[in-house]
Amino acid sequence: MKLDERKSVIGMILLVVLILAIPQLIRYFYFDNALLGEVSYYNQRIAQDILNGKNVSHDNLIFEGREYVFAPYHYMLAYFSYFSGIELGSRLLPFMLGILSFILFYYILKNTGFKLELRLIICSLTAISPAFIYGFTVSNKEAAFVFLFLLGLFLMVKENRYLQNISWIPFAIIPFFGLFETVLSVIGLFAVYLIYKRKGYALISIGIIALVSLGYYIHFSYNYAPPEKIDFIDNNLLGGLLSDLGAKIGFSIFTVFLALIGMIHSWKKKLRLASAYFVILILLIGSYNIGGSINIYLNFVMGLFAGLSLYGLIKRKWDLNLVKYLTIFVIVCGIIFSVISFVNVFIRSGPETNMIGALYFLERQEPGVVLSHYSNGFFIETIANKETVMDSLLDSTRNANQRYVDSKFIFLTRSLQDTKRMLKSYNVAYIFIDKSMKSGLVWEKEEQGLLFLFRNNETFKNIYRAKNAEVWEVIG
Amino acid sequence: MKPVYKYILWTIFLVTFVSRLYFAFQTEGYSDDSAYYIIREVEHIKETGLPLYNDELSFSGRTYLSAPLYHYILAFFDYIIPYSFKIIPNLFASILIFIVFFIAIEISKKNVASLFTAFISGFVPIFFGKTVNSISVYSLVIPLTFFMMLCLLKINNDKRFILYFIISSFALALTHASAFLIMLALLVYLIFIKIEDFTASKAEFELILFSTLLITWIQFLLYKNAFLTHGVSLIWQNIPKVLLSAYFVELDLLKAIYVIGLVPFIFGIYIIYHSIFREKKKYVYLLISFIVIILLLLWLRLVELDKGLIFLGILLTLMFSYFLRRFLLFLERTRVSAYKNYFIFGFVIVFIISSVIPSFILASSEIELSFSDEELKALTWLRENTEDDSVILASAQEGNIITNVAKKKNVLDTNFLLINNIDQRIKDVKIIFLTVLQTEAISLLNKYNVDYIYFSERAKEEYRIDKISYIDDICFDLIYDKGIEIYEVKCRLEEQ
Repeated sequence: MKLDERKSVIGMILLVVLILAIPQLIRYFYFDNALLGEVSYYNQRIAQDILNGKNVSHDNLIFEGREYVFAPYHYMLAYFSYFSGIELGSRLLPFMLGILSFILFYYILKNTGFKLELRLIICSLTAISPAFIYGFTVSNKEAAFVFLFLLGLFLMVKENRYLQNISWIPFAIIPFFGLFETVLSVIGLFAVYLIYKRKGYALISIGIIALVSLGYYIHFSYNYAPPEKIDFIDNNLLGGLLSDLGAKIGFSIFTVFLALIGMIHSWKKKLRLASAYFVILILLIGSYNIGGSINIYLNFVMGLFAGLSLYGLIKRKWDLNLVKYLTIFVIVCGIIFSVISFVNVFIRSGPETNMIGALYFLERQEPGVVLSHYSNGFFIETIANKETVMDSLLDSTRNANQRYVDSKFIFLTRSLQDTKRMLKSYNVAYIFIDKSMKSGLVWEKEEQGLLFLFRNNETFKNIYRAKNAEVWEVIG
Repeated sequence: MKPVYKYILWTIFLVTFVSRLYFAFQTEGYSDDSAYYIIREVEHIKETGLPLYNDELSFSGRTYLSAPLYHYILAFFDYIIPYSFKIIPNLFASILIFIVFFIAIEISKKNVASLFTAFISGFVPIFFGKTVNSISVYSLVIPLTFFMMLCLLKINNDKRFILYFIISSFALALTHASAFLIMLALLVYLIFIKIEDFTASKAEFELILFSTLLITWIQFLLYKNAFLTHGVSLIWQNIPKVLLSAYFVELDLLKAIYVIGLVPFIFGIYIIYHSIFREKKKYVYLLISFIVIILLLLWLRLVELDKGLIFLGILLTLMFSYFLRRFLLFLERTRVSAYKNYFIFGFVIVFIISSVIPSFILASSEIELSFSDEELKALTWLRENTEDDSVILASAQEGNIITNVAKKKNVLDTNFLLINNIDQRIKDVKIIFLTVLQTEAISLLNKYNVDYIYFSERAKEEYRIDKISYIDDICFDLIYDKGIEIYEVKCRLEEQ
């Protein structure tokens, strides 16, 4: 049977639309339509401030304030939301970027000479992945980076001199996304230089990235303190890579398995693909050191090698046809089940109804610093519009390690005097507690540490209590 | 195969099966506390058609994760056969004889050697002892695992075995997590094939790839929550640290010889040496791959010693068949070939002394460990004379029988998966039995809402005490005292 490319591409786009829409729709109908993920709340707040014409150079909603680090995504989101409003924009922009990135990826593969069937398999495996769903459902800068990088690459590999000439424009924006993204783009373009024929354009783009980076990072080093190394987050490569083992932004075990086979198979062309392997290595190191967000980039490489491997399995001449179909069936089921179970957890990420109620209650209170687990920081800042002790933007928070140690001390000690002293040092006026904090994130037992001290009604007053959220006021 | 060999094979099967049943029916109870958990699973399946997932009794409320096929099979047989928990596991374990015979035929091509190997496999002491009266899932896992190996050896000659391999992969993955062992073994086998330049058939490679993916997928589906909760330490099944050394024991050579049997151990090891350094045979490498994986996992303490030794025992027995073939061929070329039968008889004698007798000794000691009538009576009394939602404190090894026979909540049992703070719980229970401070004990008893303390000989042995020191008439009522003491907890510590 011969495949019709037009119909196949439309089918694939519909698949992506469905994959990206499902979590949003479930969230809309069953979870009070709150935004998914933590970081989308931070991005929403900054974009809203830009849209309102506020000065965003200093972030005041964190204890002692924080310098704002320029991120192109905030401006993209702000202008994109000009007509739709920030709430809808925060949903639509990643969704649009996801579909566009997918189409660009497809056409890059086409221009590189991949067969139609292979392109479809690679694109399907890339799209049916927890990392893809997370990357293009949660409002985050990684989605914009992927889009811009793929756009630059797409323009570069087109047989059109005009498009090739403007391919440097997206690359020129990339240095503003961060140092890792800059290094990744340079190595990625170097891979293009080695693998494809567009050597001149790749070199020009590398030059442009280098030039912009130089200017930007000289400015950066003069104006910002170097980021502190965060030492309280446990990194686990396997646990951070496999969504089946709990990775927030990860891959199905079968995708990783297929990608490994694909890489082993491609080893014959190792000289030509050396820089591609280097890209994978950089991404794995990034995934381990920086966190799961890097898996959004890694997903495209995983999809590529996993697709090559699955295509190889399908096209291989099997002795046992029954085993062939069963093997492919198991792989496909394994990938789909991973995605379903990921979506099942993912739609619950972000604040749930009771928590939002508590945050709106907090919003109506007098200004004051709120202590909570740092993973709740963005919610408190954005929904309750209150200052927090710390949030998940750890790199640019002054003394993040010390703040973490102090927060932990407050949460776990049973010494009232020490707790009061520490709360005073951060001017804490409110303590916000959610269900996850009580079920292992902070405390493992009832009446542990601060939970015990809450009995002291001269120091703490419970001002809000719902099923999964509590707000305490520090009164003494 | 000549009819005489068939009769001998069936006789070996019957001898093994009857021997097993003889031991199993010595007592009404079971040797292992986890047998009572399996009975609950089976009863739940019979009542609802579904495996027991949310259990209100174990740990006073917990979630179970288990591969359900074995429980479904037992539930099916429990409908049609009386005493199915005694008969069916022993039937499965005895079926291993046929599987080993056919594997041995593939390896040795000699009926006599294969029959002798089948006979040995029926009396591998550790397998015999550990599966005779415990409803152990290994009584199904072991035959299934070796059936998969048989299928792999036969696929090139008989295409039906392709389907059998697929079905048994599926069944094994749904039976127990030790399906990972054969998966790893088959992957090592592929590596050996590559290293030793054997020609692997495409069919073999395809089946190994399929089974690897299938087992991985099913195990991830079944144990996903456990993976998420415990991470990689799931390998140790969340066993408390204080008990870990008792489960994952260092390999002791003398114990290994005793529980595997002298004959298969010595000659099996010799054949490994011979196959690696002298005469390379592809099918022997299939067994060697499995042995390598088991030894590696035992060495790294990633597999329980008893379970590892069961696999090792059967594998070395199969290796012995190859030795016997070589030995018989050698004998035929010598002047003593006329005395071949004497040599075989000699082997039988050595085998009876070193395998059959230890099997019976181990089985007897397992039977002695069974829960006695006295214990069953005490638990029945508890069921009939205490409130339905009472919480009973007993040692971990009595936890499952509390939930099964007394139908009451326990504080802990030996199924530790998905239990939070298990180390703390084990420590607390130990303190309750050992402390001399009544306030400390009552505080902990209150913590777990304990209504009754079940104090048996097992608890006395485990904690090395004769009595609980803080027991008095004010806070505790001795409500049962017939060898086993049951105390009602009357006091509660009130918070000021």
